[in-house]
Amino acid sequence: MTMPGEQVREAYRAHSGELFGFACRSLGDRDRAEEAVQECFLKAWRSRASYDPERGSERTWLFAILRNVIADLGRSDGRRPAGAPLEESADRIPSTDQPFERAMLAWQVEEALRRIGERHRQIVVETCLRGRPYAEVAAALGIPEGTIKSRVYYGLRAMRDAMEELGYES
Amino acid sequence: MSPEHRQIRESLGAWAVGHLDPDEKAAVDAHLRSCSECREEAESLRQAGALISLVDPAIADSLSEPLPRPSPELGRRVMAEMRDPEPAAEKMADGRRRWWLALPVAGALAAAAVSLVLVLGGGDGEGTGNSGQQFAFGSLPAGVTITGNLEPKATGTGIEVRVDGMKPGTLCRVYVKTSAGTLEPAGTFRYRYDTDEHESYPATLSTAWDLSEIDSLVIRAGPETFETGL
Ligand SMILES: [Zn+2]
Repeated sequence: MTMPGEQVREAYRAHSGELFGFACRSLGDRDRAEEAVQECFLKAWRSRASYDPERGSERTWLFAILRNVIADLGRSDGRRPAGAPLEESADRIPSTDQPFERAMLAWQVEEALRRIGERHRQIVVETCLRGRPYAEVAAALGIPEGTIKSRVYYGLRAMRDAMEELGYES
Repeated sequence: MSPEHRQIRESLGAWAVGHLDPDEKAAVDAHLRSCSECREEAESLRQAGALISLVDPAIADSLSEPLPRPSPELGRRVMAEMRDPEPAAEKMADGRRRWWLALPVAGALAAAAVSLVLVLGGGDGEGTGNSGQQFAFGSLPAGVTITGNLEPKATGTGIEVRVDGMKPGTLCRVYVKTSAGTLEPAGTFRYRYDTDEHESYPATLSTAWDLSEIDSLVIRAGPETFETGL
Protein backbone atom coordinates (compact mmCIF):
# COMPACT_ATOMS: atom_id res chain seq x y z
CA MET A 1 0.00 0.00 0.00
CA THR A 2 1.35 3.39 -0.80
CA MET A 3 0.60 7.00 -0.13
CA PRO A 4 0.62 9.25 -3.20
CA GLY A 5 2.88 12.27 -3.05
CA GLU A 6 -0.06 14.65 -3.07
CA GLN A 7 -1.44 12.96 0.00
CA VAL A 8 1.80 13.56 1.90
CA ARG A 9 1.63 17.24 0.97
CA GLU A 10 -1.98 17.29 2.09
CA ALA A 11 -0.94 15.61 5.34
CA TYR A 12 1.52 18.44 5.94
CA ARG A 13 -1.32 20.94 5.68
CA ALA A 14 -3.52 18.89 7.97
CA HIS A 15 -1.09 17.77 10.69
CA SER A 16 2.02 19.94 10.71
CA GLY A 17 0.53 22.30 13.30
CA GLU A 18 -0.13 19.57 15.80
CA LEU A 19 3.16 17.78 15.13
CA PHE A 20 4.99 21.06 15.56
CA GLY A 21 3.17 21.72 18.82
CA PHE A 22 4.19 18.33 20.13
CA ALA A 23 7.78 18.82 18.98
CA CYS A 24 7.88 22.23 20.73
CA ARG A 25 6.67 20.64 23.91
CA SER A 26 9.15 17.76 23.71
CA LEU A 27 12.18 19.73 22.62
CA GLY A 28 11.40 23.03 24.32
CA ASP A 29 12.61 25.04 21.37
CA ARG A 30 10.92 26.34 18.22
CA ASP A 31 13.92 25.99 15.93
CA ARG A 32 14.59 22.44 16.96
CA ALA A 33 10.89 21.66 16.68
CA GLU A 34 10.89 22.92 13.10
CA GLU A 35 13.93 20.83 12.38
CA ALA A 36 12.13 17.79 13.78
CA VAL A 37 8.95 18.41 11.75
CA GLN A 38 10.97 18.92 8.59
CA GLU A 39 12.83 15.67 9.16
CA CYS A 40 9.57 13.93 9.99
CA PHE A 41 7.97 14.88 6.67
CA LEU A 42 11.13 14.07 4.78
CA LYS A 43 11.08 10.59 6.28
CA ALA A 44 7.37 10.32 5.56
CA TRP A 45 7.99 11.35 1.97
CA ARG A 46 10.75 8.81 1.52
CA SER A 47 8.84 5.97 3.09
CA ARG A 48 5.40 6.81 1.76
CA ALA A 49 5.45 3.58 -0.22
CA SER A 50 5.37 1.65 3.00
CA TYR A 51 2.44 3.52 4.54
CA ASP A 52 -0.31 1.06 5.36
CA PRO A 53 -3.70 2.59 6.21
CA GLU A 54 -4.76 -0.75 7.66
CA ARG A 55 -2.23 -0.29 10.43
CA GLY A 56 -3.25 3.16 11.54
CA SER A 57 -4.31 6.62 10.52
CA GLU A 58 -2.10 9.04 8.67
CA ARG A 59 -1.88 11.07 11.86
CA THR A 60 -0.74 8.07 13.89
CA TRP A 61 1.82 7.19 11.25
CA LEU A 62 3.25 10.72 11.26
CA PHE A 63 3.42 10.81 15.04
CA ALA A 64 5.27 7.50 15.04
CA ILE A 65 7.82 8.96 12.63
CA LEU A 66 8.11 12.17 14.66
CA ARG A 67 8.60 10.11 17.77
CA ASN A 68 11.68 8.48 16.25
CA VAL A 69 13.00 11.78 14.94
CA ILE A 70 12.72 13.38 18.37
CA ALA A 71 14.31 10.38 20.03
CA ASP A 72 17.22 10.64 17.57
CA LEU A 73 17.57 14.36 18.17
CA GLY A 74 17.56 13.71 21.90
CA ARG A 75 20.23 11.05 21.53
CA SER A 76 22.47 13.20 19.36
CA ASP A 77 22.22 15.96 21.96
CA GLY A 78 22.88 13.66 24.86
CA ARG A 79 19.58 14.94 26.20
CA ARG A 80 16.38 13.14 26.80
CA PRO A 81 13.36 14.66 25.19
CA ALA A 82 11.10 15.94 27.90
CA GLY A 83 7.55 14.85 28.29
CA ALA A 84 5.05 16.57 30.48
CA PRO A 85 6.40 16.19 34.00
CA LEU A 86 4.23 13.60 35.67
CA GLU A 87 4.18 11.79 38.91
CA GLU A 88 3.89 8.05 38.95
CA SER A 89 0.39 6.81 39.55
CA ALA A 90 0.49 3.52 37.78
CA ASP A 91 -2.92 2.31 38.82
CA ARG A 92 -4.67 5.30 37.28
CA ILE A 93 -2.79 5.59 34.05
CA PRO A 94 -3.46 3.13 31.30
CA SER A 95 -1.20 2.18 28.47
CA THR A 96 2.48 2.62 28.98
CA ASP A 97 5.22 3.48 31.41
CA GLN A 98 7.71 4.77 28.87
CA PRO A 99 8.21 8.51 29.49
CA PHE A 100 8.08 9.30 25.80
CA GLU A 101 5.01 7.18 25.15
CA ARG A 102 3.36 8.86 28.08
CA ALA A 103 4.19 12.28 26.73
CA MET A 104 2.65 11.26 23.40
CA LEU A 105 -0.44 9.94 25.07
CA ALA A 106 -0.68 13.08 27.21
CA TRP A 107 -0.49 15.12 24.04
CA GLN A 108 -3.28 13.08 22.53
CA VAL A 109 -5.41 13.69 25.62
CA GLU A 110 -4.70 17.41 25.38
CA GLU A 111 -5.72 17.37 21.74
CA ALA A 112 -8.93 15.57 22.67
CA LEU A 113 -9.59 18.23 25.32
CA ARG A 114 -8.96 20.98 22.77
CA ARG A 115 -11.60 19.42 20.58
CA ILE A 116 -14.46 19.17 23.06
CA GLY A 117 -15.29 22.84 23.26
CA GLU A 118 -14.68 25.48 25.87
CA ARG A 119 -17.76 24.98 28.08
CA HIS A 120 -17.15 21.32 28.68
CA ARG A 121 -13.38 21.56 28.76
CA GLN A 122 -13.49 24.19 31.48
CA ILE A 123 -15.61 21.99 33.74
CA VAL A 124 -13.60 18.84 33.05
CA VAL A 125 -10.33 20.66 33.74
CA GLU A 126 -11.53 22.29 36.95
CA THR A 127 -13.14 19.21 38.44
CA CYS A 128 -11.35 16.16 36.99
CA LEU A 129 -7.87 17.58 36.57
CA ARG A 130 -7.65 20.21 39.31
CA GLY A 131 -9.99 18.41 41.66
CA ARG A 132 -12.01 21.49 42.65
CA PRO A 133 -15.30 20.73 44.41
CA TYR A 134 -18.45 21.04 42.24
CA ALA A 135 -20.00 23.56 44.64
CA GLU A 136 -16.98 25.83 44.39
CA VAL A 137 -16.88 25.69 40.59
CA ALA A 138 -20.64 26.19 40.42
CA ALA A 139 -20.43 29.27 42.63
CA ALA A 140 -17.50 30.70 40.69
CA LEU A 141 -19.32 30.31 37.38
CA GLY A 142 -22.78 31.17 38.69
CA ILE A 143 -24.41 27.99 37.47
CA PRO A 144 -26.24 25.22 39.39
CA GLU A 145 -24.23 22.33 40.77
CA GLY A 146 -26.40 19.90 38.78
CA THR A 147 -25.22 21.58 35.60
CA ILE A 148 -21.62 20.95 36.60
CA LYS A 149 -22.41 17.29 37.08
CA SER A 150 -24.08 16.91 33.70
CA ARG A 151 -21.26 18.80 31.98
CA VAL A 152 -18.74 16.41 33.53
CA TYR A 153 -20.79 13.62 31.95
CA TYR A 154 -21.08 15.18 28.49
CA GLY A 155 -17.51 16.47 28.64
CA LEU A 156 -16.07 13.04 29.42
CA ARG A 157 -18.19 11.48 26.69
CA ALA A 158 -16.99 14.02 24.15
CA MET A 159 -13.43 13.49 25.26
CA ARG A 160 -13.76 9.72 24.99
CA ASP A 161 -15.14 10.10 21.45
CA ALA A 162 -12.38 12.55 20.51
CA MET A 163 -9.78 10.06 21.75
CA GLU A 164 -11.32 7.44 19.54
CA GLU A 165 -11.22 9.81 16.58
CA LEU A 166 -7.54 10.33 17.30
CA GLY A 167 -6.96 6.62 17.03
CA TYR A 168 -6.76 5.77 20.72
CA GLU A 169 -7.83 2.28 21.64
CA SER A 170 -8.41 1.58 25.26
CA MET B 1 -35.86 3.02 29.35
CA SER B 2 -36.62 3.40 33.04
CA PRO B 3 -36.84 6.86 34.69
CA GLU B 4 -34.10 5.65 36.98
CA HIS B 5 -31.87 4.95 34.00
CA ARG B 6 -32.40 8.44 32.62
CA GLN B 7 -31.79 10.06 35.98
CA ILE B 8 -28.70 8.00 36.74
CA ARG B 9 -27.24 8.56 33.31
CA GLU B 10 -25.95 12.09 33.87
CA SER B 11 -24.31 11.04 37.13
CA LEU B 12 -22.08 8.54 35.36
CA GLY B 13 -19.42 11.16 34.62
CA ALA B 14 -19.07 12.13 38.27
CA TRP B 15 -19.23 8.44 39.20
CA ALA B 16 -16.44 7.64 36.74
CA VAL B 17 -14.04 10.13 38.33
CA GLY B 18 -15.07 9.36 41.89
CA HIS B 19 -16.85 12.62 42.59
CA LEU B 20 -20.15 11.31 43.96
CA ASP B 21 -20.98 11.41 47.65
CA PRO B 22 -21.53 7.99 49.23
CA ASP B 23 -25.35 7.99 48.91
CA GLU B 24 -25.32 8.96 45.23
CA LYS B 25 -22.57 6.47 44.57
CA ALA B 26 -24.56 3.68 46.21
CA ALA B 27 -27.56 4.51 44.02
CA VAL B 28 -25.46 4.47 40.83
CA ASP B 29 -23.72 1.24 41.87
CA ALA B 30 -27.10 -0.39 42.39
CA HIS B 31 -28.31 0.71 38.96
CA LEU B 32 -25.11 -0.47 37.29
CA ARG B 33 -25.67 -3.95 38.65
CA SER B 34 -28.93 -4.17 36.74
CA CYS B 35 -28.20 -2.08 33.62
CA SER B 36 -25.55 -3.33 31.21
CA GLU B 37 -25.89 -0.28 28.99
CA CYS B 38 -24.93 2.04 31.84
CA ARG B 39 -22.16 -0.31 32.94
CA GLU B 40 -20.56 -0.09 29.55
CA GLU B 41 -20.94 3.67 29.44
CA ALA B 42 -19.57 4.07 32.97
CA GLU B 43 -16.53 1.94 32.20
CA SER B 44 -15.64 3.90 29.06
CA LEU B 45 -16.03 7.17 30.98
CA ARG B 46 -13.84 5.82 33.76
CA GLN B 47 -11.10 5.13 31.23
CA ALA B 48 -11.47 8.58 29.70
CA GLY B 49 -11.37 10.15 33.15
CA ALA B 50 -8.18 8.26 34.04
CA LEU B 51 -6.47 9.63 30.93
CA ILE B 52 -7.04 13.20 32.07
CA SER B 53 -4.54 12.75 34.88
CA LEU B 54 -1.83 12.55 32.21
CA VAL B 55 -2.27 16.23 31.45
CA ASP B 56 -0.09 18.67 33.32
CA PRO B 57 -2.49 20.99 35.21
CA ALA B 58 -0.08 23.85 34.59
CA ILE B 59 -0.76 23.78 30.85
CA ALA B 60 -4.51 23.22 31.11
CA ASP B 61 -5.35 26.88 30.62
CA SER B 62 -3.38 26.96 27.40
CA LEU B 63 -5.76 24.38 25.91
CA SER B 64 -8.08 27.22 24.92
CA GLU B 65 -5.31 29.01 23.11
CA PRO B 66 -4.34 28.21 19.55
CA LEU B 67 -1.35 25.91 19.13
CA PRO B 68 1.99 27.49 18.23
CA ARG B 69 2.27 27.50 14.46
CA PRO B 70 5.37 26.56 12.51
CA SER B 71 6.72 29.35 10.34
CA PRO B 72 5.48 29.57 6.73
CA GLU B 73 9.15 29.18 5.83
CA LEU B 74 9.07 25.63 7.20
CA GLY B 75 6.11 24.85 4.97
CA ARG B 76 8.00 26.13 1.95
CA ARG B 77 11.09 24.12 2.83
CA VAL B 78 9.11 20.93 3.36
CA MET B 79 7.05 21.36 0.21
CA ALA B 80 10.22 21.97 -1.80
CA GLU B 81 11.74 18.79 -0.46
CA MET B 82 8.64 16.87 -1.35
CA ARG B 83 8.86 18.05 -4.93
CA ASP B 84 12.37 16.74 -5.21
CA PRO B 85 12.40 13.12 -4.15
CA GLU B 86 15.28 13.85 -1.81
CA PRO B 87 17.00 16.97 -0.53
CA ALA B 88 19.63 18.70 -2.61
CA ALA B 89 23.10 17.30 -2.09
CA GLU B 90 26.33 19.22 -2.18
CA LYS B 91 27.14 21.34 -5.19
CA MET B 92 29.69 20.02 -7.59
CA ALA B 93 31.96 22.77 -8.82
CA ASP B 94 33.07 21.12 -12.02
CA GLY B 95 29.71 20.93 -13.70
CA ARG B 96 29.13 17.24 -13.16
CA ARG B 97 26.05 15.94 -11.57
CA ARG B 98 26.23 13.28 -8.99
CA TRP B 99 23.28 11.35 -7.76
CA TRP B 100 22.75 8.44 -5.55
CA LEU B 101 20.02 6.26 -4.21
CA ALA B 102 20.01 4.33 -1.02
CA LEU B 103 16.72 3.49 0.49
CA PRO B 104 16.13 0.32 2.35
CA VAL B 105 12.39 -0.18 2.34
CA ALA B 106 10.56 -2.99 3.99
CA GLY B 107 8.50 -5.28 1.83
CA ALA B 108 11.20 -5.59 -0.76
CA LEU B 109 10.58 -6.64 -4.28
CA ALA B 110 12.74 -9.11 -6.08
CA ALA B 111 16.02 -7.28 -6.46
CA ALA B 112 16.39 -8.34 -10.05
CA ALA B 113 13.17 -6.72 -11.16
CA VAL B 114 13.57 -3.03 -10.73
CA SER B 115 13.23 -0.11 -13.02
CA LEU B 116 14.11 3.30 -11.81
CA VAL B 117 13.50 6.74 -13.13
CA LEU B 118 15.95 9.30 -11.92
CA VAL B 119 15.04 12.89 -12.38
CA LEU B 120 17.80 15.41 -12.50
CA GLY B 121 17.73 19.02 -11.48
CA GLY B 122 16.50 21.63 -13.87
CA GLY B 123 18.68 21.98 -16.93
CA ASP B 124 21.27 24.52 -15.82
CA GLY B 125 23.96 23.60 -18.25
CA GLU B 126 27.60 22.88 -18.35
CA GLY B 127 30.02 24.88 -16.25
CA THR B 128 27.38 26.73 -14.25
CA GLY B 129 27.81 24.72 -11.09
CA ASN B 130 24.99 22.24 -11.40
CA SER B 131 23.73 21.11 -8.08
CA GLY B 132 24.01 17.42 -7.41
CA GLN B 133 20.82 15.77 -6.34
CA GLN B 134 19.79 12.79 -4.38
CA PHE B 135 16.82 10.69 -5.25
CA ALA B 136 14.65 8.40 -3.31
CA PHE B 137 12.53 5.58 -4.53
CA GLY B 138 9.93 4.29 -2.20
CA SER B 139 9.87 1.11 -4.22
CA LEU B 140 13.60 0.48 -4.26
CA PRO B 141 14.18 -2.94 -2.75
CA ALA B 142 15.94 -3.20 0.57
CA GLY B 143 19.69 -3.34 0.26
CA VAL B 144 19.82 -1.91 -3.26
CA THR B 145 21.79 1.27 -3.83
CA ILE B 146 22.51 3.12 -7.03
CA THR B 147 25.09 5.85 -7.38
CA GLY B 148 26.42 7.71 -10.34
CA ASN B 149 27.76 10.74 -12.10
CA LEU B 150 26.76 12.63 -15.20
CA GLU B 151 29.63 14.55 -16.68
CA PRO B 152 29.70 16.91 -19.66
CA LYS B 153 31.95 15.73 -22.51
CA ALA B 154 32.92 17.31 -25.81
CA THR B 155 30.69 14.80 -27.59
CA GLY B 156 27.74 14.70 -25.19
CA THR B 157 27.43 13.44 -21.65
CA GLY B 158 29.34 10.74 -19.82
CA ILE B 159 27.29 8.55 -17.53
CA GLU B 160 28.84 6.51 -14.77
CA VAL B 161 26.53 4.18 -12.88
CA ARG B 162 27.20 1.89 -9.99
CA VAL B 163 24.49 -0.34 -8.62
CA ASP B 164 24.75 -2.51 -5.57
CA GLY B 165 22.71 -5.18 -3.91
CA MET B 166 21.06 -6.63 -6.98
CA LYS B 167 21.19 -10.20 -8.20
CA PRO B 168 24.57 -10.63 -9.96
CA GLY B 169 24.15 -10.83 -13.71
CA THR B 170 21.09 -8.55 -13.80
CA LEU B 171 20.87 -6.74 -17.09
CA CYS B 172 20.48 -2.99 -16.63
CA ARG B 173 19.32 -0.72 -19.44
CA VAL B 174 20.04 2.96 -19.13
CA TYR B 175 18.09 5.72 -20.88
CA VAL B 176 18.07 9.47 -20.69
CA LYS B 177 14.83 11.39 -20.80
CA THR B 178 15.41 14.60 -22.68
CA SER B 179 13.84 17.98 -22.11
CA ALA B 180 12.03 17.36 -25.41
CA GLY B 181 10.34 14.44 -23.66
CA THR B 182 11.97 11.63 -25.62
CA LEU B 183 13.52 8.55 -24.06
CA GLU B 184 16.97 7.88 -25.54
CA PRO B 185 18.91 4.66 -24.91
CA ALA B 186 22.31 5.30 -23.36
CA GLY B 187 23.61 1.76 -23.14
CA THR B 188 23.31 -1.42 -21.17
CA PHE B 189 25.42 -3.14 -18.58
CA ARG B 190 25.26 -6.16 -16.36
CA TYR B 191 25.44 -5.89 -12.63
CA ARG B 192 28.58 -7.61 -11.36
CA TYR B 193 29.88 -7.92 -7.88
CA ASP B 194 33.47 -8.43 -6.88
CA THR B 195 33.36 -10.84 -4.00
CA ASP B 196 37.00 -10.15 -3.10
CA GLU B 197 36.71 -6.39 -3.09
CA HIS B 198 33.13 -6.47 -1.82
CA GLU B 199 32.01 -3.87 -4.26
CA SER B 200 30.35 -3.63 -7.60
CA TYR B 201 31.96 -2.35 -10.78
CA PRO B 202 30.83 0.99 -12.14
CA ALA B 203 29.47 1.01 -15.68
CA THR B 204 30.75 3.76 -17.95
CA LEU B 205 28.26 4.80 -20.60
CA SER B 206 27.58 7.86 -22.69
CA THR B 207 24.95 9.70 -24.66
CA ALA B 208 25.17 12.25 -27.42
CA TRP B 209 22.76 14.52 -25.59
CA ASP B 210 24.08 17.51 -23.71
CA LEU B 211 23.80 17.47 -19.97
CA SER B 212 21.62 20.58 -20.20
CA GLU B 213 19.14 18.69 -22.39
CA ILE B 214 18.72 15.77 -20.00
CA ASP B 215 15.82 15.89 -17.61
CA SER B 216 15.99 12.48 -16.13
CA LEU B 217 17.75 9.19 -16.21
CA VAL B 218 15.92 5.88 -16.44
CA ILE B 219 17.41 2.58 -15.39
CA ARG B 220 15.58 -0.64 -16.05
CA ALA B 221 16.86 -3.66 -14.25
CA GLY B 222 14.30 -6.33 -14.97
CA PRO B 223 10.82 -6.32 -16.43
CA GLU B 224 8.88 -4.30 -13.88
CA THR B 225 8.55 -0.54 -13.76
CA PHE B 226 8.78 1.56 -10.64
CA GLU B 227 8.84 5.32 -10.74
CA THR B 228 9.67 8.08 -8.35
CA GLY B 229 6.85 10.18 -6.99
CA LEU B 230 7.23 13.33 -9.01
ZN1 LIG C 1 -29.05 2.37 32.81
